[in-house]
Amino acid sequence: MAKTKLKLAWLSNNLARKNTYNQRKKGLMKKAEELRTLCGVNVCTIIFSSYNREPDIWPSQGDAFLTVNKFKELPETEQYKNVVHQEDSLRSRVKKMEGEIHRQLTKNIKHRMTHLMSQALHGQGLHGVGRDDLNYLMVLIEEKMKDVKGRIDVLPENTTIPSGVGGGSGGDEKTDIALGVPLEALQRQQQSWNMNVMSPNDQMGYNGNQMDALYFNNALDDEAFSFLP
Amino acid sequence: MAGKPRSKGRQRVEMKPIEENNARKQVTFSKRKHGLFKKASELCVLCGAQVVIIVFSPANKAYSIGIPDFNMLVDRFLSGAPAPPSLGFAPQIPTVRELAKQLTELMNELEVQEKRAKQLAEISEESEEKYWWEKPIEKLELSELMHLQGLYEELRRKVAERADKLLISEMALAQASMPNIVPLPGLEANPIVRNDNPAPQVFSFRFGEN
Repeated sequence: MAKTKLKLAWLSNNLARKNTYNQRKKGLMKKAEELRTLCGVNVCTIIFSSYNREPDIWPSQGDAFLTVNKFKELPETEQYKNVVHQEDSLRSRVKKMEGEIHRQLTKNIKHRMTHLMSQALHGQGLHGVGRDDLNYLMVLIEEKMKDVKGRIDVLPENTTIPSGVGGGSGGDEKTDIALGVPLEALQRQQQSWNMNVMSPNDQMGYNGNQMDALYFNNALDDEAFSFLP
Repeated sequence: MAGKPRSKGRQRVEMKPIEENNARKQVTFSKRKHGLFKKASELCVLCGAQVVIIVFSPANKAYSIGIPDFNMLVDRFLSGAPAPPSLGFAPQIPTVRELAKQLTELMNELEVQEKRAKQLAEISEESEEKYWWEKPIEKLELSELMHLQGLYEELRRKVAERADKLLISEMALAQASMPNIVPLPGLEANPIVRNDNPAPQVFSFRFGEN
C-alpha cells in the first residue's frame, strides 16, 4: 500500500476530513476486531463524531455495554492503572521519533566522514572542512585506528615488515594514496610511528587531553537538531 | 554492505485465535493494543472525533483510552446522550496541538534524513570498491594494516593542524571585536561556533553500525 505522508493536524478541508473519518473509523474497528480474534480478549470501541448523532460502536452496543460494565466493576485502582492519556502517548511518540532521527543522523555522519576520510587519504586536502566535521572526522580516525591496532595484535606475531611488501597483493592501488609520499619511505616511517603510537603524548604534535578541551563540545543537546546539509 | 540479518518483514498473519497463553499472544496483544490506541489518537486529531476504547488483556487486566476525557465519554455512552454539536474540530488542548505539530515536523525531518542516507549509501558503495583501505580489515594483510596505521596517524596530524588553524583564526576574529578581553591561554571562554549536532566527545559511530 502506498504510504502517504501523514500530517498530524486537524483536516480543515471538509471533504478530506469526512473521507478520512470514514476510512479510519473502519480501519480502527477492523484493528479492534483483529485484536479480539487473535488474543481472545474483550474489546470495545466507541467513537463520537460530528457526522452521526449516535456514536459508532464496535462490536455492538450490547457487547460494548457489557465490556464497559465489566470495566466499571473493577476496583478503582485497577481502572486507573492503565489509562492512556493522549498527551503522554504523543509525548512518548515524540521521544521515540527523536531517537530515530538521532540514529539516522549518526549513520549519515558516519557515511559522510568515511567518504571524507577516503578523499583525504587519497590526497585531497581538508580544505573547507569545518570544525564540526573535523571533530567527527577525528572520532572516526580514532575508532579506525583502534580497530586496526586491535586487528594487528590479533594476527600472528610479525615483528619485521617483509621487504617484498611493495609488490604484495593489490599493489597497484597503494601507489595512489599515501599523501604523495612514496611507499618505501612510509614503511620506514611506520616503525617510528608505531613506537609513537605507544607513547603518543610527547612525540606527536599535540596532547590528546588538551585537544579534547579545545575541540569537543561538552553539552549534548538532545533537543536541538541542526540538520546537516 | 554488511548488515545484521534482516527479519522477513511484514508478514500476513492468519486471523485465528492464538493457541494457548504463550509469549506470542502476550506480545501480539501488547503491540496491537498500542497500535490501536495510536490509531485512535490520530483519528481524534485529524477529524476532531472523540474516542473511548476499553481492552482486557489475556490476563484480564483492563487497559483504556479516552480522548478527550475517559470518564466523560463513558458516562455519555451509558446515559445514551448524543454527541454534542461542538464536535468535529481541532484538538482544543494546546499541548496536544503542539505535540501533534511537533510530531509531524519530526516525521518530516526523519524522512529528509532517510533520503540523505540513501544518497550517502550509494556513494559509500562506490568508494568501497575504489579504495583498498575501505575493505573490511579482516581482508587486509599485516603490511597493509601497518601501512594504514601510518596513514591514519598522518591524517590525524593533519586534522589537528587544521583544527588549530581554525581555532586561531576564530580567536583572532573574536579578539578583534573585543579588544579589551585578554584571551585565556589555550582554552576559549565561550565556544564561538554553535554546535547543535551530536557532540563528538559523547559520540561513537559504533552505535550507528547497521
